[in-house]
Amino acid sequence: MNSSKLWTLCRIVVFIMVILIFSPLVIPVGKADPFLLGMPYTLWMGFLVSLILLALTIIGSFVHPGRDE
Amino acid sequence: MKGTLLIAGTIYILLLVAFTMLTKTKEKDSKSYFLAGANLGSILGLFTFAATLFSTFTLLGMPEFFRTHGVGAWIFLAVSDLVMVFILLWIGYHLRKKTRGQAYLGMAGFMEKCYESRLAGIVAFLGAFIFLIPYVAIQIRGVATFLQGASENGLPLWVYAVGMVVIMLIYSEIGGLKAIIYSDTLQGILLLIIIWMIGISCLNKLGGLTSTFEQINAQNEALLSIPGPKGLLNFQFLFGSMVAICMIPFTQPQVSTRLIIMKNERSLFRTAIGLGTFAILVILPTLFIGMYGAIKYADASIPEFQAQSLIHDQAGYLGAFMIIGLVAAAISTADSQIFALGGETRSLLKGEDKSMVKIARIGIFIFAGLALIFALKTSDQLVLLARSSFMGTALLAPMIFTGIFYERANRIITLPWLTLGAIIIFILTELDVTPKTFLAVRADLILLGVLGLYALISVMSDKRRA
Repeated sequence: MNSSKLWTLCRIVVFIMVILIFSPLVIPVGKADPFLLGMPYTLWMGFLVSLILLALTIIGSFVHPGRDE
Repeated sequence: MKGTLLIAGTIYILLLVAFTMLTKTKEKDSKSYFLAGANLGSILGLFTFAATLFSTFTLLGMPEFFRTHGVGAWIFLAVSDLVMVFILLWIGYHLRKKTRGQAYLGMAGFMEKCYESRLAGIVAFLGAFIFLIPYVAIQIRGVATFLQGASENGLPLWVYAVGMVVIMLIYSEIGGLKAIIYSDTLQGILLLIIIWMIGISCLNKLGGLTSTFEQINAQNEALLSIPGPKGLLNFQFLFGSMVAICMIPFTQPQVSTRLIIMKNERSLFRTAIGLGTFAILVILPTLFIGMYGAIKYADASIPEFQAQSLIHDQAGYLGAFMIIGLVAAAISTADSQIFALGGETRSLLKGEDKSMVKIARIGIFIFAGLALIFALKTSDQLVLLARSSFMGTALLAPMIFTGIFYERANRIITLPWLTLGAIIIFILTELDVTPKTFLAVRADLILLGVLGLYALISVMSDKRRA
């Protein structure tokens, strides 16, 4: 897969992530369970989402078609 | 604490003086003064972006926001910032491509060129001016209130506020953007180290992460999920905030200028990665401080909570560092914003460069004065006021994006007019003159949606005509 396609894929994944962020999967209303490492669900899920977004930014910066301009 | 404060404060001021002297130039043309030579590398880029974005709003506002509204505040700021960083990579590239070869001096001037309309430039300037002045004001007020509460010398609020504005004006007037960028680097590093020292101290006092959330669970369970005890962090608030925050690199001139002056694309991309990491690192300790406040100072007033948790409950030297860190955070954001408004003024002026730079520099003094007056009149709700500022400038996004992405933006001259109308309605909404919601949807979201849709339909119909 060339870098242009990978960059498009990155953008699609970020778009899907944004939809998921506002779904009950990440922010269920009034629900703190299950806890992970002592943290309530929305918090550890928020951390996970943040790390995935950061990883996508890192990947995106390497496959961006304009990287060498 | 007083001894540490005196020593650390003196070192901090001396470093600011050194940076100012280092960057002082006799020749003040627009490119060197307002754009720092337009050759910014990734390390300086990272810290100047970070110090400009993460400010009093983060250091003072976010612990309070976590204390009052709970863990959903992470989604409000950290997750939104991470999406913003990706968009910086994506749309930032297109903005740089479009401005390449042009004498870019500010977003207002750039919009004037894209739309071939003076009005577009004026709307971009007005939007930045109207919503940045309150944002600058809350930085100044936030720290001035904090300093007043933390010290017991009885000095009035305005003394602290004037002191900060004077320091900020001296070094930015003498050294220009370059002085601001160097001082941002110092202030960004300070900010990160100090907030972590306080955050870890708070977490230790509560017995670690698991113990902290066990105590919160027993005391106020609603803090552990959205929408929080007061019901603020619902879908519309979080979504609107994310949209507004994602637009900041393009709608707030202090950030868009930095984006433009990066040396090359690689530097910008590295800066974006660094900024994402910085966002996580700087917001995480504010969660610990906020949870500490929720347990220890659940019913305290905002200044009481801040003074206790950040100063009085900490070891003397930590409290002293916190005061320096807060002043640094406020100054680093406020100076960039005031200076960017000067840059925007310059981008709209036409005439001999040196004279125009002089006029814009006088403008910086006027903007600082206005921010100071506003600081003495505004409220203590840092985060909510900052959000209003983000949302207000976000209304410029459809006009700016159309200018960036559409070659024939000059054919859509109704968009700047519509943007101006939306800004006026938004201000009326903030002043409670018009309703904040319409059919249960937030007015700010409706305004942004209408502008976005109008821009899209206008571009599509223009393409069809062409």
